Amino acid sequence: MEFIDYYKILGLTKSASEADIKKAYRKLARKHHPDLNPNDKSAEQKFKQINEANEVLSDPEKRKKYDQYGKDWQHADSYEKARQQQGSQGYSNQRTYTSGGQGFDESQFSDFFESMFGGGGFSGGGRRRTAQFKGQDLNATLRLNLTDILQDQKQTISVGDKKIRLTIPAGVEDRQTIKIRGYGGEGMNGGPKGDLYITFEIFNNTRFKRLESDIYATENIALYTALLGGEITIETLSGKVKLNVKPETQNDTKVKLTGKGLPKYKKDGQFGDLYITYKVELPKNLSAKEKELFTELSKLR
Amino acid sequence: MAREKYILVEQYCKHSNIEDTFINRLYEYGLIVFEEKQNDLYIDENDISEIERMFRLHNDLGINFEGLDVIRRMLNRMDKMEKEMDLLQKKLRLYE
Repeated sequence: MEFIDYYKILGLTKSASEADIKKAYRKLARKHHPDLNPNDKSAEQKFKQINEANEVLSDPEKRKKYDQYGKDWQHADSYEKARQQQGSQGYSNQRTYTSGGQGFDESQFSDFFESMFGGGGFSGGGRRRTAQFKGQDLNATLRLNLTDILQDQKQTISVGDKKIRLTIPAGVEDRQTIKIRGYGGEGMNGGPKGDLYITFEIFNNTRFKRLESDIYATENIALYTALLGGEITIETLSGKVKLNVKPETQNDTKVKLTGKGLPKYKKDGQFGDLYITYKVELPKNLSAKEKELFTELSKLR
Repeated sequence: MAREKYILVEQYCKHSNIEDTFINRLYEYGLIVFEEKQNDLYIDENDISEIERMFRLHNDLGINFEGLDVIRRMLNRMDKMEKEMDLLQKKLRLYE
C-alpha cells in the first residue's frame, strides 16, 4: 500500500486554505469528469483520485488526521501489519476485464483511504448521489484475430461473474463497439438492467491490409512473367487462387478479385474484394550471358 | 419476456432520487421527450442513461440546462469526428 499525496493530486501545498481546496477540486473535476471524457480510462482514474483527495481535504477532521498520519508515515508499516493480522479482506472489489461504464462508482476508494478512514464512502461533502435506477452500463474489450471473423462466431465470454453467450457477426470492424441490451448491472428498485458495450480489437494476423470489407496485398512477379504473361498462384483468405498475368504487365498494376475480401458486416452472403498490386522483381547478379543478352535487347529499343 | 419500454416519470423520480423538477426542465429545454398515455407522463427507457449523465453533470459540476444542451451537441460532434478520424487512420495505413 502506498502513501497518497492528496495535496499533490489537487496541485496544492499543505498550507492551502479551504477556499483553495474547493477551487482546485472544482477546476480539476471539470477537466476530468468521466462524462466529458468518454472512453478515457485515465480521466476516470484521475477523477476518482480527485474525489478522494477532496473527500479527505475538504473535511477538517479527515484533513487533520491525514496531516498527522502523513507526517508519521514511517509508522505506517506497523500500522499495516496490525491491520493485516486482523484479517482484512477489503481487496475483493477489484474487477478484471470489465470496468464501470458511464455510471461512475464513487465508493471505490483506494486501499490507503480505506485503511485510514474505513470504507464509509461519501460522508457528505455537499455532493448528492443518484440512487441509480437503471443498472450500471459495463464495458468490455474482446480481442480477436482477423481470421476469426470470417464467419459468425459463437463465443462465451465472462463479464464480472456472469457468463454471456453471444454471436459475433462476421466482418466486425476493428475498434467497433456493439451494445448488448440488458447485460449490464442490475437495476435498482425494479429499474431496467444496464447495457453491456463490447469493443472489438481485431488483430490482423494475415499479410493483407484491411479497409472495411476490402483487403489489399502486394504480389511479387518475375520480370519475365510481367513481360511475357503467365500464370501465378496466390494465397487468399479462402485458399489458393490462380491468376493470369497479362503480357506486358506494368509494375504497380492493381487487379481486383471480386468477392475475395472479408464478409460484409451483417450482410449475409456478401463479401468485399481483394486488391492485388503487382511488384515486378528485377533479376539480380546477372551472369555474363544474361548481360550480353540484355545489352542486345537494349539495342533493339 | 416483453420489455417495458416506457417508465412512468413519477415512478422514475421516486426510485432514482432525481426530482421531477429536473426531469421537467430537461423536457422544457428539449433534452428529452415525454410519452403521454392517459394523462400520465412516461420517459423512454433508452433515455435513462442520458438523463443520469445529465444529472451527474448538473450535480457534480453545476452545469445549467443550456450548458447540458451545448455539451451534448459537442459530444455528438466529437463522437462523429472520432469515427471519421478512425476511418481516415485506417485508410492511411494502406499506404504505409
